Amino acid sequence: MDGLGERATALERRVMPEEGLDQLVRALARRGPVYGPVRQDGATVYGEVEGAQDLDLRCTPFTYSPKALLHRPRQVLFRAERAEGFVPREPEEDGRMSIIGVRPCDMSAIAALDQVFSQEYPDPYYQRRRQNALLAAVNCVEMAEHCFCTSMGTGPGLAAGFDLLLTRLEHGWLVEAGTEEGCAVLKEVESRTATDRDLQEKEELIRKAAAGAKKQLQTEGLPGLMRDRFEDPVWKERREECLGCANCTSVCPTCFCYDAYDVVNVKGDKVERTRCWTGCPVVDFARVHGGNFRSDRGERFKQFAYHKLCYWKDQFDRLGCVGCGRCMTWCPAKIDIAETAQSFRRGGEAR
Amino acid sequence: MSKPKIAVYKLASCSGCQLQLVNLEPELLDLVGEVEIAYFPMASRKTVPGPYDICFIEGSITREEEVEVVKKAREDCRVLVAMGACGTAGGPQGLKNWARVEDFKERVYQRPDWIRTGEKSLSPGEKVKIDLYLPGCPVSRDQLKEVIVAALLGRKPYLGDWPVCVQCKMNNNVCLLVASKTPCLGPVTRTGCGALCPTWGRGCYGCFGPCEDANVASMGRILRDLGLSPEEIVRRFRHVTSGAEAFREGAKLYEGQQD
Repeated sequence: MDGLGERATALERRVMPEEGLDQLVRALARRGPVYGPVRQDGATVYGEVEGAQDLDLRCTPFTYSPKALLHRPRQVLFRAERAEGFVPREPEEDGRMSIIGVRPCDMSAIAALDQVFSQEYPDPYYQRRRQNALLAAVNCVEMAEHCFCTSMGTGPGLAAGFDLLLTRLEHGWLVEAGTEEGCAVLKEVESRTATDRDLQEKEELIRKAAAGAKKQLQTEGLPGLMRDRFEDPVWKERREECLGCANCTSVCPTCFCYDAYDVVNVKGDKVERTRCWTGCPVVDFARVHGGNFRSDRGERFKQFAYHKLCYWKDQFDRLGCVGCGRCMTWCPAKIDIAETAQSFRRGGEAR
Repeated sequence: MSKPKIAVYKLASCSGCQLQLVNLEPELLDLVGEVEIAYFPMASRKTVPGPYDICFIEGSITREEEVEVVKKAREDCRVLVAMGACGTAGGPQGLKNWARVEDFKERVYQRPDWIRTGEKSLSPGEKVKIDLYLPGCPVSRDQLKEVIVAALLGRKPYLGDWPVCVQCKMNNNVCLLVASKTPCLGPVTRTGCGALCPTWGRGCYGCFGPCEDANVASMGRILRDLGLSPEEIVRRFRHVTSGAEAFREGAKLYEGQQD
């Protein structure tokens, strides 16, 4: 992926007028619930939307990713009742849903999760929700303060992986359909065929956005550099700052770790096994029989930074960071792993 | 086989935690089918003599004779669970540990001369061995149930000792501390409440006490950056679980400091 998304592979390219966005959301809503970025308490989170008026498609620093819609914060794995032995029952299937407003960095994160949940241990819970989800992505035409997608090659433009891809033009929306289903949705919306001028406008907008990137992380040889600096004193400073609150892993669009537990009823004849989000900054995370293999807070924080910028490469042949900037935005202690890693290039101190 | 016996003791407390046991309404009938409520003055006049299998002790020790109650509970019970902010960390009444009890009496009660209480509020764990601490103000019904079920099944209870933040993000809440600069103890407080206050737009008060390895120094710096005075920070750490070690440390960092 080039991150500029100029050569997005699309089956169809059309332009809809301003009010077309509302028609598009309603067309999606006929297929099942639609989720998109909505304003809440001074930030943007994913919530159910009914029309375009609910959506906030701007690229702002305080956002949450759509991860929770695919990798549920709490997911019942099975329920069982005591009968002749225990009989497990699978949880109810989820129906079709659409996620609109997915940013290119988050699309890259979804591709990362696809890999995580399909590679060694295929995960039916994630896969079911993923297969049921129509993804209507949106190209970024602006960069927020913490964005460094240009460094990670994940944005501000998207090249592939979408059902629909929106770009806000000066007059109306360019909508590109990447799948047959995307084409079908597009048919239900008032639109005209996109011209070369429209596509040029899109390219120009994305290039301009990319030029506005304020933050940078050089990724060349990064895993090796991280390994070399494993004992760097800067990690001791981070240790003192880190709260261990796991805000970073919770808002990270690629963090996938979970815990699982059983809820048994008082009579002891019904059980529900649930998994829930957890992350390496939490003490309990690395507690196994006989002890905790990351009992030090500094080690736990480093695990987050190193998994994203180093180990992920060995595990999945890419980096685990998509440059969305959320971990540093939502860290109450303002710890910035990208800046810390980048400081190794300068050999100096940084946050 | 006879049913396991449960006992509930009360020391200085508001009784809110034992009320949570009664509040297990939908499963209360199932519960009395599985266990015998042997000693629980709030819920039943019937008293069955010990020994008991599971004992919940609510409240803190504020008078000499309560030490005897705690010792008796320890002797009578196989598994002793200290519950609530009072049972685990001295509770709100623990504030008197850092002040003159006479001042509190005068400020709070119309007839201070009627009040008989000691100088300090101690959690039962300072006098006897406690098998399990179940924090909260009040304790969570789900966690309370989990402790009983786990005891019945003979396994470790799953209480999820994480910071409130983990639960808060699971609820899709916008972080108050970051987005609206609202002072919040979520990063250093143990979950169990379901991130109740932040879900309703209020910063965490720390009712469940510190989470494991709580970084109170960093938390204090963040609160200071938000403009809280040292005195306000001390108050926040002491509020409900002043006796908890990490929060005691946090308060100590700012105690007596000038703004």
